[in-house]
Amino acid sequence: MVEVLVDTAVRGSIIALLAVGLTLIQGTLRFANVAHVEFATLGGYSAVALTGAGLGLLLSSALGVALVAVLAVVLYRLLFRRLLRSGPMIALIGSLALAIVIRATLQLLYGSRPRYLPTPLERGIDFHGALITPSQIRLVCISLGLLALLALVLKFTSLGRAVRAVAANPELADVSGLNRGRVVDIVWMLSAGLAAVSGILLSIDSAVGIELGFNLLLPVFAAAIVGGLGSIAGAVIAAYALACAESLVLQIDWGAIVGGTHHLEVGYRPAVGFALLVVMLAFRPQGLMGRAVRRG
Amino acid sequence: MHRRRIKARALGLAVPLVLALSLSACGSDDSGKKKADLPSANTSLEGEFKIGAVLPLTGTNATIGKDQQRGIELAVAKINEGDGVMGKKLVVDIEDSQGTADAAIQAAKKLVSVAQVPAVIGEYSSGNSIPMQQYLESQSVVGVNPGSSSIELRTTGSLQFSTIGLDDVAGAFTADALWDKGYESIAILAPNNSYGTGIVSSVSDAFKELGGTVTTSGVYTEGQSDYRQELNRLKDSKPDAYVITTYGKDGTVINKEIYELGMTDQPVFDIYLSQDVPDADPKSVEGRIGMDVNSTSENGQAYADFYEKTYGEKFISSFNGYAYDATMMLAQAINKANAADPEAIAAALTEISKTYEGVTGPIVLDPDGQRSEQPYVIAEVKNGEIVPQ
Repeated sequence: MVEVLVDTAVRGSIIALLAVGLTLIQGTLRFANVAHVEFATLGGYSAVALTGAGLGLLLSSALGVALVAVLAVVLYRLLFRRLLRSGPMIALIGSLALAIVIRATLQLLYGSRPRYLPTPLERGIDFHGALITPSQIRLVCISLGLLALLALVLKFTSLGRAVRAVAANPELADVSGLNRGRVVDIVWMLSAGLAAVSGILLSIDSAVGIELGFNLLLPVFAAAIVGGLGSIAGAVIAAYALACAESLVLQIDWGAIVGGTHHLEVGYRPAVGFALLVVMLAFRPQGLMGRAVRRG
Repeated sequence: MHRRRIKARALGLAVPLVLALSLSACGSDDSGKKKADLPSANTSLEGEFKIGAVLPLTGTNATIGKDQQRGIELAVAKINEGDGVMGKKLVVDIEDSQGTADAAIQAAKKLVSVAQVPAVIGEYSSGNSIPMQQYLESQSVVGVNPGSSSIELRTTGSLQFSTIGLDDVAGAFTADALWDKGYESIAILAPNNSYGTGIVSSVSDAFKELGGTVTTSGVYTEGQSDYRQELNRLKDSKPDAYVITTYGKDGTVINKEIYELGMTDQPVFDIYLSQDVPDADPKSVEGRIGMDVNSTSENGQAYADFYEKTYGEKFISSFNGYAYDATMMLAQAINKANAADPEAIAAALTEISKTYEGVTGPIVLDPDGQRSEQPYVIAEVKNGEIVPQ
């Protein structure tokens, strides 16, 4: 049982950091950015590049996150802003193309083998029967800290109010004199930055490969949709719930139903998110914390 | 004015982008660069003799494909430094299979119909090699498999060969070795593809026949960044020894997590040790035992030196040697047949195999055209190096 908890905390934190960013972009710009998970991969590789250039891990991570955040704004201004003029569907397809280009470029530069960040190999610590490594403890703490910080910023600062105003009604925000362009820039920086953090944390915990972000696409989208698109709290709750469901389904001995002992193959893990998504869309299409009425 | 400001701003943003890209380029490795030039071709050779190869140069198995390509490259250099093929320069036309069966067949089609080669080397994954060899057989073209090990390759036809031992050979050897070490129960982890499922069943069957038990056997999806769930399954089944086989790119993560989960307190046995160890953190694989192809023969050592001198690194997988042997054998068979006729080449291949000493050991082809035995070796990792026991 403790194993499920540890698993949920680690995987849930990674998914939450990504789902929050996805839901922020969806909330402010009304389009699903498929390339969002690639920011995690980019974060991992930029940390690899910077540590490779001789910088320390902490400095490389911080710089890597900043680089990805800046890159996200550049991509928004050069690409997504133009695409969005033709509608959210066009932007979505554009983001799909961008994701493919990013993966191909990274593969060209780094090859298909996973890369490591220079972290010492550590034995797991026995935590009530489950093993957790120090890097995983850091991963969970940093994620929770950042998520809390984000919540505070959105709730209590003028910047947060501006973001929420643009999300609630872009036209009204415009006529109220808000600089919408700036707000959107900041949302891109924030969401891509969080994605980069999750990518770097995951790279420290295991390794960074071309598919790092892509493998998370389904659970991240599932968490954002189940949580209610545009809802930060919903995305976080859904991320941890999804991770917990995945872990439970894999841990449960299905032998009671089919006879003998039978564990589900781990390869079916993404199916859990998919099933959850289907159930949610069938019974509560607006998501956990979504509003029932669509705004114009 | 306004427009110009936007331009200036765009420029301001483009600069960090360029910086980021150039930085990442700095961080990329130089492993693709050659350290020494290949020997140049004998100048007395006139004209070209073309054979084909279909390798996974892109896609999941791109690293292995690149290594196979190196094996072929070295063989071609060796052949052309000498007498070539039928007095001509040997050229291997290498096509990309993209790691998929469909693209592999398309590539083979191109080689057969456009380049009109009498023989094709390839592929790596059994799921691609089998349909490709079936296609080659239908076109009466010789096929030589240098990397796949599914036993279904026995049935692809009379012009189809393998220079690598199939799963039944490798599985039986592994089971014997485990039993000899005194392990009575094992848990197995392998990749979820025809190689993985094949090796799992052949090791399990052979081990059970010896009287042992298999506590659990699992297959993992390639390319994940975390395999703790799979590994915990193995751990929870409490076997005497863990048996794993991975591809290098997954092996790096798997080995790290094996160490983190404390599984290295138990014996971990690796099928094809050299597929994993070079990429792993040395601490995580220290003391690891396993089986691998034998490369300590005199032939093998000279080849290993040649490889290292040319590419400035040790073997990145154990698969370049089979591709090297496949190319060498084909060249010899063509010389013996003295014709570009597939039937004659196939007959010559079987004939020369009786005494053929390759860099991966003697390659005796059985009536199915498959390598009937292969020297394996049990090795241990000591101070980060693979040392045969």
